[in-house]
Amino acid sequence: MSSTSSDVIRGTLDMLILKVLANEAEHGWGICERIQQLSREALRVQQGSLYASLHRMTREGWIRSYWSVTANNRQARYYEITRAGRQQLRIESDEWTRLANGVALVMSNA
Amino acid sequence: MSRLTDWTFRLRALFGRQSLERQTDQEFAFHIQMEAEKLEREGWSAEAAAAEAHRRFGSDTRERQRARDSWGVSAIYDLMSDGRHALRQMRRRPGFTALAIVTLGLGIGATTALFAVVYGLLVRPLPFRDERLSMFWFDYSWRGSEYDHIREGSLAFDQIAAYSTWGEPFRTGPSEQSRMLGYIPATANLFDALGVKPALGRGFLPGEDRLGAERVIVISHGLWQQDLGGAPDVLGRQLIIGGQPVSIVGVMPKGFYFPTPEFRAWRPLTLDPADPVYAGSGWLALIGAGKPGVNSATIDLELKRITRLLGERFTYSTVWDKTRNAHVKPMREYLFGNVRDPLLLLMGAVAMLLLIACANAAALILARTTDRTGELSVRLALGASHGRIARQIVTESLALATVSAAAGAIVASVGFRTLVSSLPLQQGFGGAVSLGWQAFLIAFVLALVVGVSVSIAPVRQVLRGRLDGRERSEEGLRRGTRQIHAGLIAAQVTLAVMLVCGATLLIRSVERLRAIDTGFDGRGVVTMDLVREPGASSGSDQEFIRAVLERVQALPGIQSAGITNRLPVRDGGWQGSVTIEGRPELAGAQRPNALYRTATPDYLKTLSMEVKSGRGITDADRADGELVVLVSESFARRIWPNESPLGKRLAFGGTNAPWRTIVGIVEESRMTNMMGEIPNVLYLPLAQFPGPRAGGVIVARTSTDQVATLASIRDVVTGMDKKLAISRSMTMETVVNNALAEPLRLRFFLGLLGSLALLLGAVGVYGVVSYAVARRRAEFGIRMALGAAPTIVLAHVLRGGMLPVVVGASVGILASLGLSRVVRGFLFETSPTDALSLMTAASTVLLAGVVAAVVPAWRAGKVSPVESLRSD
Repeated sequence: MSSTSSDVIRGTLDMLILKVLANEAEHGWGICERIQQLSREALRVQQGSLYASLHRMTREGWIRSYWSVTANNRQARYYEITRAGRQQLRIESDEWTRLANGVALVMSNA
Repeated sequence: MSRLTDWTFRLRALFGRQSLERQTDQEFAFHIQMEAEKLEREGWSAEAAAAEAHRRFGSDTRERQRARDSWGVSAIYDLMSDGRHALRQMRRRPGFTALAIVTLGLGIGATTALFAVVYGLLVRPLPFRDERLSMFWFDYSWRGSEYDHIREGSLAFDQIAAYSTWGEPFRTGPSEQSRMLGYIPATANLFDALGVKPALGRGFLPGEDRLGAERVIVISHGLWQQDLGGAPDVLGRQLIIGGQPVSIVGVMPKGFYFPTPEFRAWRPLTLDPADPVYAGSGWLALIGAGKPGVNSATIDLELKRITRLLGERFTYSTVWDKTRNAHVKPMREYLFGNVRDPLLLLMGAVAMLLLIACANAAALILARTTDRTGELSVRLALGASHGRIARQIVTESLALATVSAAAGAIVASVGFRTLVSSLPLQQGFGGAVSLGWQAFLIAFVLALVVGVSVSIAPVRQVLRGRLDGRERSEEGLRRGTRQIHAGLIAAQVTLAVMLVCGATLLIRSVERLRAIDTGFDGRGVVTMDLVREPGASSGSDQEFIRAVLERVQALPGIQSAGITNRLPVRDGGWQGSVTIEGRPELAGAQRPNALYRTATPDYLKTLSMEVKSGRGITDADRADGELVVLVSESFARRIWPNESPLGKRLAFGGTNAPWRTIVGIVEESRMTNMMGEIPNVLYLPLAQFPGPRAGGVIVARTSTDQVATLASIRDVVTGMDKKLAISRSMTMETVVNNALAEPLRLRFFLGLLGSLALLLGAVGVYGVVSYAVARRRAEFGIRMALGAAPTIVLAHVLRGGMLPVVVGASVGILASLGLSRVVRGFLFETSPTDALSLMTAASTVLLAGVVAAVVPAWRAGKVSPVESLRSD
């Protein structure tokens, strides 16, 4: 655990989860690991709160879950992205790009 | 987002909750395990890895709750858990729960049942165009000639129709048994005025109310279904009414009645200027269907026009002057005006009962909440919000109120028929009121209101935060609770005194009514109406009546039997003017009037009406003998104040009536009603004054069972001739009770409500005082250990318990005095401020309060110091 990593910015957790799931179906712990990995340990997911997000997005219909067996033969609940989820991901990443560009512009010109 | 997935998810969360939670648990366990394994791989010891994995995951419970919150149904979960908790609480305190449910159930049930009656009579639309329909002044007193003169060219009314009421024997076929049919003879425009069309066939055609028209009739849906078996070919079939065939041309819609449900058919009357009745008898009621949007000014103008027309054409005596005091009354008011006041009185009384029940339940719930101070404090300390606890209390109250509403619905369904049958409704109206879904909606709404209102006091206590610091606040909470309790008790007692006071006044009033001397003895006397169809085979009218009486008198147990035209205290009757031989003809109103009753020889004896002097009617008073008459005591006194009327002669029954010799004076007795003035009465031998219809009212005194006697009289009489119709068979006591019906029933209901109020008030006082005693056991124990006598403790408790009762009783007396105007109209020879009634009411309630307070107080005096100290 790295002391320099920070919590995922509020409101972006959904987008990150969707991004991870856009590549392949994954279980909750796997999603945490992937986010940490992909952000090179810069981001840290509050482990428990991940599930509130996952359940909410299931309700929204962006992802769906199924039980399956992991590589080392354990029962785990996998989440996969739906078509609505991909659409949502597009919306959120566009939004994020706009926001990040805006922030970057302000920071570079100040 | 997709609504569908959202809602399927929510539904699954609601109904598949267990599986969902199990899966979540499994998911969390998997996550923690994976994390721990990763840590172990990084070199942690198994034990430390497991602990760290848990730590990283965060609070298991909190995360589970957050996941659950994301399912979108947490409000419902809370409600369900509160509801379950509430039910558990109710089961745990069966005594408290039963008390609250019975209390509230009675209040809600009574209110619901009465609401249904009020709704049915005063709110629900009548089955005809009622809001524009009005009744003319002088109901049932208009002549055909007057009607014809004013019916046309009205400014304010689309239609003016005339009708009356009539009853005749009818048969559905030549070989069927005759029965009585109450029907409405009306002008041909009746249904136009009512704005209703028959469901089958047609109404009346213009001109069907004139001479020479075909005899037609429109029947009610009920007559069609019950008497004609709902035959599809009903149109064109014939009924035999009064011996004549009449063709059915229409069937009215289901639920239609006019003017009251007891009339089951409508037929055109005949307006024939050649008929002496046309210009001679006033027997019609006039109704007008107002033009749309007509206002009262136009109606006044119209009434002026009508009275001018009448004044130009007719001359009136003062008593019957139709040109004076002309007015119209809305039909609903005409039909139900007499029940509105008693209904509203009962409604007010029931509302008071419901309030008492609410106060009671509120006190009980408050006591319960205070008892649970400990539990609630712990829950607050564990992080439950004040709002959450308040919501829980409200949910508990609502659960209680909902169960009570269910109990109330049962009370209402059971009590409804009793209530309806005991209201002074005109015959047949019982069917017009029903316990519909509106009533149950009201019960439910009442339950919600009650549930919320009874939790106001406890919730306020909780929200004030008195529960926070336990040590300091419990005493504060208790003090606040005590004040609210005292207020609730005082309010209950006030209402109870008012209800008991009203009931006492009515009871005293009914005692006075009971004490009225009717002048006859109805005990053991049965009666029924008997009408023979014209052209029946059983001989002439006189022979027939003699034959009926002979057979009835031969029945076992019959002591005497007679026939009259109209029964005392039930049937009204026309008063006619009387001419006295040897006295100058007096004009108009000064001419003496009298009511007449025909009688067979044993009629007076059967009702134990005494002949004070002279003789009674005998078999010798035949149509061809000397014409005789008996007069009532007051009539004799008024006309012949200083001499005996025996042997004098009078004439009665229109112009050129023959002289009749007075042969006897009859004891004064009640005639048309129980209260009010007694009219002059003439008793005429039936043989000498046969009247228009063959038959009359049989009265028979029996020494055996009255119901069985009625049945055997019915058998004997119908066995004589199929063309006989019998109606209104009942005991004479029923007749008298019916005459007293309204005050008796009001007394019954107010008495019932008063007793319930008394009971609930006592329960409330008992509950609160014993609660206070239980709370202060330790204190009493210490006091007595320090030397206080048990009596001092007892007095102390009594004082605390009785103070709100005394305050409430005083307020109740003042309030009763204030409301005396409301009950005045319902009382007979009883002052609404009757001191005895007020004192009785107040002392009854006080006594109930003392008893209710003494029992727990006495228990407090018996507290053993050691034991009480140990228990706390």
